[in-house]
Amino acid sequence: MLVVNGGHLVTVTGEVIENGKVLIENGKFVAIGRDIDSPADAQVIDAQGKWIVPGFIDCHCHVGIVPEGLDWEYSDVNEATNATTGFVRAIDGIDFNDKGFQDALDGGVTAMIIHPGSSNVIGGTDVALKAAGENLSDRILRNPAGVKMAWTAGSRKAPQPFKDTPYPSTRMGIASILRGYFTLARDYMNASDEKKREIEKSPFERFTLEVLSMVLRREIPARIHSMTPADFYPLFRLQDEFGFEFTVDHGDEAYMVANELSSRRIPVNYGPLMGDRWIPMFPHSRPDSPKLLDEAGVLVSFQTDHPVVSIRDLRLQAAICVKYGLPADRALRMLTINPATIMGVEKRLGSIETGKDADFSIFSGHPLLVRSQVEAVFINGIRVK
Amino acid sequence: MYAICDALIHTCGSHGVIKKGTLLVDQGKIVDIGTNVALPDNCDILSADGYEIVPGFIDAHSHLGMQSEGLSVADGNEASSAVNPDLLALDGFNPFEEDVIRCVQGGVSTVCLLPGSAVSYGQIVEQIGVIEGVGSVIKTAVQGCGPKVLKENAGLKMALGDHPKRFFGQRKEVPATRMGEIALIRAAMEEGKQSDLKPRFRYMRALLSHEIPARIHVHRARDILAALRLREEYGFDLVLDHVTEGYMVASTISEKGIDCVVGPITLTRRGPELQNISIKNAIILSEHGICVALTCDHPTFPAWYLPYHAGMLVGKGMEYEDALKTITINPAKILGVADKVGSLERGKDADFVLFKGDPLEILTPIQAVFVDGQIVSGKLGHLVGPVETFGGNSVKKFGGEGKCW
Repeated sequence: MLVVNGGHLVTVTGEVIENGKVLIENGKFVAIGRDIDSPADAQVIDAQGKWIVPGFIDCHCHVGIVPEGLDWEYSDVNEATNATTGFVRAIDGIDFNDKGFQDALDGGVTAMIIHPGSSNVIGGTDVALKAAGENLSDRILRNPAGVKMAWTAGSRKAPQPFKDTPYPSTRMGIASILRGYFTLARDYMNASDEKKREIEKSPFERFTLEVLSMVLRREIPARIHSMTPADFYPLFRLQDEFGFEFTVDHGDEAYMVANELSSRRIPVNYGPLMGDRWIPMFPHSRPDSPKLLDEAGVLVSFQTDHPVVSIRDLRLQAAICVKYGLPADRALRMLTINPATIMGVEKRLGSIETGKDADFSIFSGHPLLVRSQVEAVFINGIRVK
Repeated sequence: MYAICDALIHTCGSHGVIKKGTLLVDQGKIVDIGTNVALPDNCDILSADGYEIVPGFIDAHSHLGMQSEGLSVADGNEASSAVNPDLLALDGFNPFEEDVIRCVQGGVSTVCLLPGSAVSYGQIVEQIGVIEGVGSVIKTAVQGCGPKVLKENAGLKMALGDHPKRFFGQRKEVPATRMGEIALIRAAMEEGKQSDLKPRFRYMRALLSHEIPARIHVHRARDILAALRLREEYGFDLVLDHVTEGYMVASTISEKGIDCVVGPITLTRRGPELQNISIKNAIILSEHGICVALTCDHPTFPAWYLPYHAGMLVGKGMEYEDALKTITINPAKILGVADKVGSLERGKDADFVLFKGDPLEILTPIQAVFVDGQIVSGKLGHLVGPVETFGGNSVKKFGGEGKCW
């Protein structure tokens, strides 16, 4: 049994408890408050004057699948051999000893969704996992956690080494591929086994159709790299036609359709914000986007798209938005409970509540200050940094 | 003439930090600074109790205004040849780019524009040459027909390492190796020595006669040592840029007295050249007595994040004022413009930023940015509290919404 004593306890879903205390047993929070009794034999961690926050969650990154410090030849992020590669799975491309996982812990990030890249219209399945843990199977939170799709320049042009691959060249092309595949998947999921064999043609095709069937059955969302209203409106039409759920990933200009996103309950996984190289391509993007989306009732989280921006600096994405008017408590939700919900694991992660996984960090100061340092990180109640 | 009173002033100069300090400004210059400043009769007074003032930030390595509203038509890099010593970064600068205004609003009042920048995401090799052209030091607040140029020929940009050799190697052109890169530089140096100097190589001559320094892009320790060898061979002034593995050879850099423009410090380990990147690099180099400036390498990271990068160094143990100097007086010294900008001292340009709170924290709002004594960005209306007005001028001209060019 572990007890963390003192400090500003940011529960996220409840109040900030000053001089709060947390009790942890078997990897879960078992008691939270100011006046709780801890057994005499419990291991005590003194956090007087520190900030205790739930582990941050990054719902869009490429940690371990874009290897740190190696050439692109070693990269496993883009299976850019076809415009649709729904048959690949991110989990098969990840180096679980990659330094990027340490970067996550250095920034107090304890869970993430790792995506295939954006070089395909249908890119493959995502995996949700924890940043550290004794063995891989314990680290996995959801697999598949969604299907990566891309509605952008990346999926309209094959990347350099595969530049002869046939690709759509317009948004119309992307839409037609998705409409075609969803139509096929709808026929597939309702077909007899015999008919299925007829439709699928090859095991590859079967993998893709099975994954898309899961999307159509709303078991997993599509997680769609999309930025502007020109991307969103065709997606809304496809959603009306096929009834699947999706998340907007990046969403630089998503605030422009905030009300529609809100009424459709489509979450926006916003960012990254600090490497603004693509600002010129999205002239309407603005740093108060999360505030505007939040006010319209859209579920918003922050992402780093690591290695575009270091996953270590996830919390600083939120700080920038606070500077532009987002209330700090809303920003903290966008780092914790909101991404947990977008990940589909809000019952396990995202806040300091009794019964949830004991994933949390101890910061030397307020977690949105540049100068604050992550002093300790715990996953399942075990210190990992 | 106006005075800003009762502020916490980080001068980054000989006055250190002044509590309840006064900054007296006239005709774009700092007339006086301190705690006992005599205020003339005709002086407007702005009370800034509870505010902090820092010198305008300086980014010594920037490609601001060279991206032309999109990456595919950017003017940051002349990719047609590996050797372009006659290019001027100023000729690629678009003063009307949105980022230029953002830079001013973020308090970055001076940058050194450098040629030689291209996209470096993912598998794309950065399309940069070996000798990329001449940089200029400019003020970001653009008026009239262009930026105020503090120093037109501020350094000859070169690059060593993985990117030039891969980009040109792919095209079956020299350089395909590091040997090829150095050979190209050596050949250009020899051209610079010729008595019948070709116009194209005039800046090589300027380099060899110490009129301008070389600004060499290096990441790996081996490339740092190669740059130092070239300097021994040809005897030019040298500034190292990026210097990612500098901490591995810090004593060597220090012995030679070479200044370093470090960063962006928040980069991830993109490719082998960056595999040893460490957030402590700038701190270790400083501890070796090296003059260190931080860069955001705009647009790799936007220039206006410069103060947060300095704040990260504070988080990792650097003294606050030392961290502030890496984005003010140190780059001014490295660029040779410390007589005008970089610190708040008598006679210098009145370039400063007014913060409500810690200037190196993201959350702190910028209240106003002043360049050459003029407010170029910000709101001051609510700042005008207990104002005393001497003489005929009203303090109103500082109030309300600041105009941003």
